[in-house]
Amino acid sequence: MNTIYDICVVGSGAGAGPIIYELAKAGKKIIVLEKGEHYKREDFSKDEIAYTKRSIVTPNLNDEYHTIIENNDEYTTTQANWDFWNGSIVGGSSNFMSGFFHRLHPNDFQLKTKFGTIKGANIEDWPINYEELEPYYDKVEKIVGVSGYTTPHKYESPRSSKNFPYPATTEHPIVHLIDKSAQKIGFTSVVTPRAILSQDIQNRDKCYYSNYCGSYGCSSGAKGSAREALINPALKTKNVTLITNAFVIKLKEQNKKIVSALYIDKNKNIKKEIFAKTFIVAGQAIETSRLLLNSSTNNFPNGLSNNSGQVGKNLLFSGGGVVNGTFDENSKISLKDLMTEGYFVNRVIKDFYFFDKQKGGILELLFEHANPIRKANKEKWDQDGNLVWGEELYKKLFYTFNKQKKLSIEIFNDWLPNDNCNVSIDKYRVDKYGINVAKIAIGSHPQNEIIGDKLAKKAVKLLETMGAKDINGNISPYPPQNLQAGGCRFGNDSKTSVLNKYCQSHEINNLFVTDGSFMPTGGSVPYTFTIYANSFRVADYLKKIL
Amino acid sequence: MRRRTFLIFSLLSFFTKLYASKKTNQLQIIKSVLEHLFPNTPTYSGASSFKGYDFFLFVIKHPTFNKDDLEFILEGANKLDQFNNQFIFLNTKTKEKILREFETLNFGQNWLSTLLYYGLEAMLGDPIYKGNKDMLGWKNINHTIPVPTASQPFGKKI
Repeated sequence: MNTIYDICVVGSGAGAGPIIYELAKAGKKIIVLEKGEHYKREDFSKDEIAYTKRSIVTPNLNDEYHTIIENNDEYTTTQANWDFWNGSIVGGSSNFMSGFFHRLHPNDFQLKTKFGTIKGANIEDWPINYEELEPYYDKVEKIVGVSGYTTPHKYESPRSSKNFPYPATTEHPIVHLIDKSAQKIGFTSVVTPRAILSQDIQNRDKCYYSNYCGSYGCSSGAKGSAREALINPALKTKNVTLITNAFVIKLKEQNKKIVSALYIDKNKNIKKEIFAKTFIVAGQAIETSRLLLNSSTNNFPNGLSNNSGQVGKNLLFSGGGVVNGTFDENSKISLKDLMTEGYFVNRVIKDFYFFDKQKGGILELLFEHANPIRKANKEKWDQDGNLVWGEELYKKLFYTFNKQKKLSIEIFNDWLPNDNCNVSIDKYRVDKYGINVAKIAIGSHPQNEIIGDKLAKKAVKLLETMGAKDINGNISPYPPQNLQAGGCRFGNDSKTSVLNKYCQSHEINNLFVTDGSFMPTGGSVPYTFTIYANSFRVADYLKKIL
Repeated sequence: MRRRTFLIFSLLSFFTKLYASKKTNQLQIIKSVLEHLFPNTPTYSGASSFKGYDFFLFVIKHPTFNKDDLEFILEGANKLDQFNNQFIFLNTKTKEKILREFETLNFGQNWLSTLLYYGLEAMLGDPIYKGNKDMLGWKNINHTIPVPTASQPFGKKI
C-alpha cells in the first residue's frame, strides 16, 4: 500500500524551506521532491569554472531549456545567451544569492490604491498588508539569520524588533567615502541587511569573507540558504523524507483535490508517484507555472487551478540595471584601503523608493565578487576594439587586479506586471524527458526603463561625488533571470488571481504555491526575504488547518 | 576475408587515420596559438608553464563544455591552417604577424577571442582542471588563492 504523507513539497528553495521547517517541527510527515542533488557544505568550493561557467548546479541547456518570446520573435535559450535556471539543488537558488535582505515597504502592498493604475500594467493590491507580514520578516531575521544594524531613513519599514539579531558583517573601508559623499548630496546611506551570519551559531559558522559569495555555495554555513538554515535542521526531526534527483512532471487530481505527484527519478530514468494529503509547489516561478499548466485534467483542461486563465500570467522579474565607476590610486581612498579584499560594501540608498508621486527603487552598492576569469575576460579588448594578448594583456590584467577596483551600483525597481510577460506551455518543444517546456514571454513595460533611468542618474551623481572614473551603466528592458516572481498571483478575487491570501489555490483547496509566484507586484528589492517571510506565514496557516 | 570486406575495412581505416591526423593537426594549431597568446615572459608565466593546452584537452571532454564552442575552435584551427599551413613552425614574430592578419577577418577575431577566453580559464581557473599549474596563473596577477579550492572538478560532490 502506498504511503500517504501529510504534505508533499515540490522544490526545496526559499518558498519551500519555511514550510518544511515549521511543519516538520509540528510533527507532520513531509516528503520533499527536489530536482537536484543534496550538497553538503563541504561539497562547495570557490571554483569559478564549476559555479559560474558551466551548468553544474543547473540543468544542461541542451537537455532542458526554455522557449523565449521577445516581441514577435520566438527562440530557445539554447539559441541565445539566456538561462532561467538558478540552482537545481537542495535549497535552490538561495544557495547562490548575495543575501541582500530588504523588507518591502507598507505601500508596496497597496500600489494600486496609493499610486493608481498605469496604462498597460496589471497592478493589483496585495490581499494582505505589511502588518500581516511583519512578524514573519522578524522571524526570518532570527531563524535564517540576518546581520545588520538599523539606519533611520525616510522609507524605513516598521520593525517589531528594534535591532537585527546579528551585528553587521565587516565592512569594506570604502563605506566611509560612500557615507561622506552621500551626505554631501543629501542622500541617506543605509546599511544593507544581509542573510549572512557575522557570528557563529549552532551548526553554522560565521562568514570568513572569501571574496566569492554570490553565485557560490557557502563553505561556512554563514549564508542563510534554505538548505543550511531550514532544511538541514528539519531533516533532524526525522519527519522529513527528502528525495533528490526527483523531477516532478505532473500533479494528479481527482474530485478537485491533488492526490499525487508524478516524478521522474533522474538516476534511474523511471517514473514514480508520491501520495499526500496536501501539496506545496515551490519550484521557482517559471517552473511552478509550467508544472500546473502541464498537469491538465478533465476538471482543469487548461492546467491545474487555471479555470480562471490566470496561471502563468503577470510574471515578474526586476527592473533596473547597473551603473559602474572605477577607483584607483588617485581616488579619494588610499590604494591599500581600496584593494582590501572580501569585506562587504553593505550600503544602499533608499531615498528614491518613492519619488515624484510614483514608485521608484533602490541603489545597492557593491564590489563585484572576485571571479578572476570573468574580470580578466573584459580586459582582452583595447579601446579600439582590437584584441590584446601576450605581455600587453598580462600588464593590463596585473593593473586591473592590483591597482583599481570597480564599484557597482545595482538598481532595483519594480517590473510592472503586464500582458506581454508570462509563462505558457510550448506545445511543440519538449525537454530530454519528453515534457513540454515553458514558453516565457519577456515583455517589459516602458515604465520599468523610465524609472530605471531616473534612478541611474542618482547613481551617477553619487559616483561622481565619490570621485569615480569611467562611470558607465546600462538600464535594460531585459529580465534578470535570477529574479523571478509572479505567475500565480494571490488575491481575493478568484477570477483575477490563482491563490487566496494564504497562497492556497482558489480552485483546489489542498494545493498551495509558496515560491515567489504569489506576488502580484514585486517591490523594488530582491525577492528572497519576502518569499521566506510569506512561506513562514503560510506555514502558520497550515499548522492551524492540518 | 573477402576482397570486398577487405576494401571496406581499408577505406574505413584510411578515413579514420585521416580524421585522426586532421584532429591532431587542429590540436597542434590550437596549442601553438594558445602558447603564442599567453607566452612565457621574464615576469609572467605563459600557457606552456601554466599548462593551458592540458587544461583545454581536459575540459573539452566534459559534457558541460559548450559543443558549439568546441566545433568553432576546431573549425577555426582549420581556417588558420588554410590561412597559413605552416603556422606551428613559424617563429614568434611571424606568428604574431599572421594572427594579427587573421584578426582582421570577422571569423578570425571571434576565434581568437574565444581562444583567449579559454586561455584565461586555463590561467585563472581552479588547478583541478589541469591548468593554472602550481597556481602560476593566479601568481601572474597576485590573486589571493580562493578558499576552499576545488577537491573535485565540475562541482562534483565529495
